[in-house]
Amino acid sequence: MSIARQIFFLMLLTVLVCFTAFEAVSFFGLYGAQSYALESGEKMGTSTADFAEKAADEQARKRFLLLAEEKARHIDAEMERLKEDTNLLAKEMTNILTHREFYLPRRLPVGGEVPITSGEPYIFFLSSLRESGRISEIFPEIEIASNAADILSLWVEGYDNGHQMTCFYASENGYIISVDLMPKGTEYVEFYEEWFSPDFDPRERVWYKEIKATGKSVFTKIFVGVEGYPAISCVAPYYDENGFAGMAGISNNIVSLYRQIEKSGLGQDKRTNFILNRDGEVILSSENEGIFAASDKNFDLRNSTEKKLAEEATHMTQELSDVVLVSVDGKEYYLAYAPIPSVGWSFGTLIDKETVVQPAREVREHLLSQTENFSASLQEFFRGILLRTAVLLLVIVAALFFVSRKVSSRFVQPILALSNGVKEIAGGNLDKKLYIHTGDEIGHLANCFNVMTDDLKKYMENLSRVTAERERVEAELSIAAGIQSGMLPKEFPNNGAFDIYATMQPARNVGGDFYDFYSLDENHLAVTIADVSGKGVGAAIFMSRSMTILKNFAAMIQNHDDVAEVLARANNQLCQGNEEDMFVTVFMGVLDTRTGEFVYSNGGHNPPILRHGETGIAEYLPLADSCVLGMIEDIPFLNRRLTLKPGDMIFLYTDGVTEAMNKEQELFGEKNLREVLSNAPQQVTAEEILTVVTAAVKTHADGAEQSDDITMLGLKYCNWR
Amino acid sequence: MEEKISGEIVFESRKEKGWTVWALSGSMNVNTSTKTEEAGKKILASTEKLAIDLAGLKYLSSAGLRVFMRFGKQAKKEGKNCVLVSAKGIVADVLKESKIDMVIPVKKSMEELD
Repeated sequence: MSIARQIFFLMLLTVLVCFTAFEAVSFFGLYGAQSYALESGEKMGTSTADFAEKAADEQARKRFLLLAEEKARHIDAEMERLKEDTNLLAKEMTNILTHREFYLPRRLPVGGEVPITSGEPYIFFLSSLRESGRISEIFPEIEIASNAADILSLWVEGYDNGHQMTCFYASENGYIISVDLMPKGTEYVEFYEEWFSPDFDPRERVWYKEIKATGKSVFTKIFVGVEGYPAISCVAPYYDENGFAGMAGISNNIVSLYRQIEKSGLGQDKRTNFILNRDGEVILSSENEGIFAASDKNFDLRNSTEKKLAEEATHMTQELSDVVLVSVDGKEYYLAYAPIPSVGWSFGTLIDKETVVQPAREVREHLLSQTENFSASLQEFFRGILLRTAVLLLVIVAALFFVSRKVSSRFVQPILALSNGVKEIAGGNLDKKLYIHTGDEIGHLANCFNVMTDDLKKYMENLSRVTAERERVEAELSIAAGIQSGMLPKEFPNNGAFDIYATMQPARNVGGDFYDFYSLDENHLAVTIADVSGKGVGAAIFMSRSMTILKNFAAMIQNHDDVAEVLARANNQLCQGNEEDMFVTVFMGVLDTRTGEFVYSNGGHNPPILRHGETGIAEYLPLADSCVLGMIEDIPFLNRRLTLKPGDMIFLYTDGVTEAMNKEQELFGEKNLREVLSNAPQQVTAEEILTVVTAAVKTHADGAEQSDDITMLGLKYCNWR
Repeated sequence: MEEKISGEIVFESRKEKGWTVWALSGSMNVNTSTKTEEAGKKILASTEKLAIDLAGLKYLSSAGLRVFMRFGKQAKKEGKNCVLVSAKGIVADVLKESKIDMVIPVKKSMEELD
């Protein structure tokens, strides 16, 4: 994949990852906010709905209780008024009977004997009075008491047409003065048979006896009188000069009375309203049937099978007030009740629970509906955001795609230029220059390439020059090596007096070792082996100089056995102008071919080996301590002498032999050299001994590269003469 | 023209008994002598008393020998003390055979130094 494509994808990937991460965070944040808002909204809606429902319920209950209390107060006032009215009637009669002198006798039509119209006062004699024959006896009283008929008439006028009621005085003496209001459509008062029965006697009524005993007005229970309708009466005692004389009463049809109460302020509604007396009996009710209907059955609600209702009926008789939920015939109602203190009754009103709950439920449903609408709007809002984000993402990706291609292309352009330039340079065009001025790493790299190209060009030019120079030096070194090699004697005379052979294997083209041999006269052979410090041209020059100086001085000195003098003079000569402190180790000997005497002197060189011809034993020659040549002027050298026997061989060598190393860096060593020489065949020639040693050194080196010049010289004394 | 390096050389210096002790370890041949000479010149220039400890030196060629001789001559010229100490084996033999002690003092151990 190309760099441009990689950069393109990298940029695209990076921005996409960042954007996606940002989007993910935003999305989850948004989603979280949405969820939180939805959840909170739902909770708030539900909570508000619950609260509103509860509040509405509370309000309804409170209002319902207030209504019950208000109506109870109204009924209380009505009952109080009825009681006062009854007391007034009683008081009027008492006033008449106790002040008879102020009234004229008056006769009222006798009920049962003449037709009595509704609202017309009449008098009725109880069966017991008639049969007793005392009517004429008490007639004066009757005539005076009949004056109360006017107040009765006046009293009933206040009631609506159709209201069924009776205002009456029931005398202790057995007569009744009464005004009856008949229901609509009934013109005359009906006197039923029961009226004329001896059993009909108000004085036998419980409440008659009660007021007679207590002197206080009371409300009766519901009873069905001779008139045939259920009624309730308020009765009060009246008196004459002798005491209790009878009772005044206002007796109302309970239906009429209830309607009267409704009309007077209780108001009409769809609720079930009822009044419970102290005995738990419904005495007035808006209902005509059912357990809440008033009847003469005198059913005690406290004994109702509806437990809650019975419990609350008990509370009602205890003159408490409350709003409770009761169940009647499987249906739930709110019952609000409040006491009617004047009579010790309790007003109760029932309303269908649904009617109360409905507004609260509507509030709740409205709020929940609003909450759902809010949730839906919120979800729609978030969907819109997501949609817009997705569209924005697509636009950004498209833009990013375009920009990434442009940027990566622009970024890679210098790299391509660099690549093409480098290819051209690699093709050998070192004059190629890269002109990339981006000011960044690529530009810097291009500059580096230009510098590298210049350097490479210079280097190659220099390399060509150095190579040429080196080749020239190599050639010169080769020539020098050839010259050096040419300086070494290659012709090895074998005149019968001695056998000599020498080799020099340089480690480098131009080494520092040399050997030399030459005849000083017909009886003296000089042999030299030397090792110049260092290698190379310098060493070669010093070697040739040393070789020449030694040979010259050896030739100059008349006394051929004073080798030490040769070394001393050569040393002084070599010290001259030796600014580089070059030096040479030299072993030089002179063999008298006639006697075998070998005079030698050493200048810091390795001790040579004497191999005895008779035994083959090799031993190092004793050497006098002496310094290398070229370092210090005017130092002494010593001569040593030995006499060689025929077959004895002097073996000269440089440290390249004894210090030849194998791959383990182990030296060939002086001991090894001596053993090799000792183990050589007894009648070995100089050339053969060098061959043996060379082979041994080669075997020891075992392929290791030669690190120093290996120079050897074998001189075997023969003395055939 | 390539020449195999037959051994490396390692330098260490320390102070002992008022001397700057320059310890050489390894092989001192034509390949390592130039480096040794350059390093030795610097250390010689920095001290009045230089002891070249050769206890760790396993091989000494003529090129190396030349370096020590130059150190000896340089020290003598500058009035400084420069000695070779603790040479062993073949190195000690080379020193002895070359009579280098005529140019630079050779001591068997540090104990022989003042």
